[in-house]
Amino acid sequence: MDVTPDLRTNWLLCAVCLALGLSSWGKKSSHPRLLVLVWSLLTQTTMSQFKALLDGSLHWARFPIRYDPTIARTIDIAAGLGLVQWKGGERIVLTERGGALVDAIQADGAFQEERDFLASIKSSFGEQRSADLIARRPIL
Amino acid sequence: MKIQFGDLHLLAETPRGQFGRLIEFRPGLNVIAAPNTSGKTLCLMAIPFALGLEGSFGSGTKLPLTQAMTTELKHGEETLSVTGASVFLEVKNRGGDWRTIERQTVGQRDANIIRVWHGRREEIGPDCEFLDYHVRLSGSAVNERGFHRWLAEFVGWDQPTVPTYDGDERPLYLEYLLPLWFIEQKKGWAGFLSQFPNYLRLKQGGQRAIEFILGLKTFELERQKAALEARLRGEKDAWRQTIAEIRAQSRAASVLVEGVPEELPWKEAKDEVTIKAREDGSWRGISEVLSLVEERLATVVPIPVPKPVDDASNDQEKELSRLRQALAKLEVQAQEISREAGEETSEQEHLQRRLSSLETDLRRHQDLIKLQARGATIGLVHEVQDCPICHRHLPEAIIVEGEADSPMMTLEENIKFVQSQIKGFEQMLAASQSRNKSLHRDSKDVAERSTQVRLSIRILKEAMLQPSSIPDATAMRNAIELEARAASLRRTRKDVESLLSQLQGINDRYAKTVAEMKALPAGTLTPEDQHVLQSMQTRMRELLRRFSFETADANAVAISTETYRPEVDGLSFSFDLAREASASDMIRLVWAYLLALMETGARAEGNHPGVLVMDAPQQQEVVDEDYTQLLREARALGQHGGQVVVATSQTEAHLQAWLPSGAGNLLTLDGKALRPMT
Repeated sequence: MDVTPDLRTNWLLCAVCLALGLSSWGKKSSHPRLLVLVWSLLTQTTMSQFKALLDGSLHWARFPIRYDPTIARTIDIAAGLGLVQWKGGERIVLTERGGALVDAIQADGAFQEERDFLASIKSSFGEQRSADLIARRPIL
Repeated sequence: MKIQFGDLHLLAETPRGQFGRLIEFRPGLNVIAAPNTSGKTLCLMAIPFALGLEGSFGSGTKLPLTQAMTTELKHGEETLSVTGASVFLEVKNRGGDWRTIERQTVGQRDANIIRVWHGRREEIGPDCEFLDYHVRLSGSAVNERGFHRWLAEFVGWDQPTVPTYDGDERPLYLEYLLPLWFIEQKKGWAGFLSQFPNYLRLKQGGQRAIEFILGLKTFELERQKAALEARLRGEKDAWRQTIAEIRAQSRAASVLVEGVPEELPWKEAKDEVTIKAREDGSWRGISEVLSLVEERLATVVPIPVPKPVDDASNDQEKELSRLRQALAKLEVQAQEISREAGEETSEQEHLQRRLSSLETDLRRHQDLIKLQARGATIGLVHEVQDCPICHRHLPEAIIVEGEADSPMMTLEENIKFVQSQIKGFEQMLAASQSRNKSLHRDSKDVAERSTQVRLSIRILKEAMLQPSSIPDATAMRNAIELEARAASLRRTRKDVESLLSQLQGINDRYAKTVAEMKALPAGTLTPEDQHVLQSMQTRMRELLRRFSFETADANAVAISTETYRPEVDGLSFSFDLAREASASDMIRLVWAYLLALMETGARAEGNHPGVLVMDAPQQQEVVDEDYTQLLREARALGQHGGQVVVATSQTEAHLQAWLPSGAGNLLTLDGKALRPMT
């Protein structure tokens, strides 16, 4: 059976680590924000729409965030593998091991498009904006 | 009584084995007696912790339990690290159903997960059913798997939604209810009900919580008022939108609409509204202007109608007919080509999107191959074979079980598969582009032939017409302009009148809603609510006398009908009298208020859980006689079905002297709260 990469555990694990490593202050994020970030990475369409949403050219109502259980499960697996760690029950932080994975990805030149995307939105997608988006409030 | 606690079990795993404490709560009065620093507070705080209610004490994420249940515990001279720790709490609801709530502080499960076992603690085993819920996370109060939603349903609480300071509405969080039935030692006695979690931003959350606990009808009244206010806001918004639409319409058609107010209500009659259009330099009623334009239109000299020449031959007629048919055929052909070209374009867009998606998939697969080469050093790829959490086999892809009917392709197989798909789609795209080129050529050809046929028709028609029949161009232009003006005026009048009807509807609904608002009872309390507050006040005064309250005459202490807090002559004990009252009297006041609240709120319509927990209530050197009285009153409350838990550092001997034999469940902690489990 054909399997798209965004359903492959390894790809999703990399996406989770990259989201924390490249687009989260202090390499840590709340669970809902991380879910949104990884979800936005899934396809080119979600990436471009998410960018448009953040720069104000797409209305928030046109970009409904869906809860994707595979992402939540991947985060759990990443925690189990020691790539990420829960901090104080509210934040997820990239571990040293997860950081090594991010370094390896960068050294290999892999995930170029995803890395560019994550780096470009880091400054405009903080916790408050994530909370606003999840609560379906206008964020502009 | 809505709930009752059974066993509370604290359990900690250490390298030296299990440490723990089992406390068996019973209906009625329960007194936990132990010297200071032996762990009474740890035992009591385990209750809100088990119920996920620590958010009531503040916004921090620190667990409300001491180190012994989170990191390390002292055993003699030895310090043991805690490798696992859980709290189990049995809870029974009004229907007699028991559930055991388990929450870990240290262990495999996150502290945000609460496990609810179906049955009592001793029934927990491999066959015992359980469900996991989340707590202290967004949605815990409303989501299906939110623990507080479950807890509210289990207890039988149907919390109302209350407005927040952000303008949203949220359910009355259970964290707001806790300070009304659980008084913790450190901050609980520091002021009068000063412990509401205001950081959760519910507007007047404490007040709403007291109303809910007492089951006051004012809640329903407030809800109705809020709903009506929301309707009024909605009508006002609709009004403004419609006004804006009228303004846009009138600007576009150069008309004036007078007599409509910018804001609701619309007191004048609709007949007062006038729509005016400009005519001969002045504004006149639109109907008057329309009549004038129509009159003028009727007087315009009729345009001469061309007539066919008398000797036009039948051959010419036949030729004209043939050419018209040919033109019709060509037009059909052009439409067909255009439709086909559109379909091809759409197909190409679809193919390009698919190709782009496949190229992304290919790149991502190749990324994974690159990583696989490093897998051994990173330890990523080869380890993801079993789930690190449940240890079941983890397939290479996260797909719901049952979906993977056939074996999944490996990365290499998948890359080949994607590449073959890309090749196929590229061929399809090339074929479609070639077809589009051909259609473009066809379209050009048909257009040229149509032009030729049209030209032939025109020449033929000109030959068939009399040269003297050319119409007067000025008259024609006048007629067209007047007709256009008349049509515009008619359309504008119709549109504006339709919008005015909408305004009328909005105004009628607004007036109806205002009337409904006026019909609601004045003030916030219904007669039934006043009766409930009166009962509570009477009981509180009685208790104040029994507890030797001296700051004011007990009969002068009233319960505010606005804040539901005690006051004297309108001065609140929470603010104005906080410094006036003696410290010990403030403690007596809290006792009296909480007991009266429990008694009043525990009736059928009320929502008090029927449990009151007080950690070290003998604060500020309240004399023993008054404290004894508190225990007696608590015991009496327990005899009516309630459950009161008091933690004290009084000795067992003192307590036995104060309470008659069998008057309560005396639980003495010997040594530290957590001790080796045998």
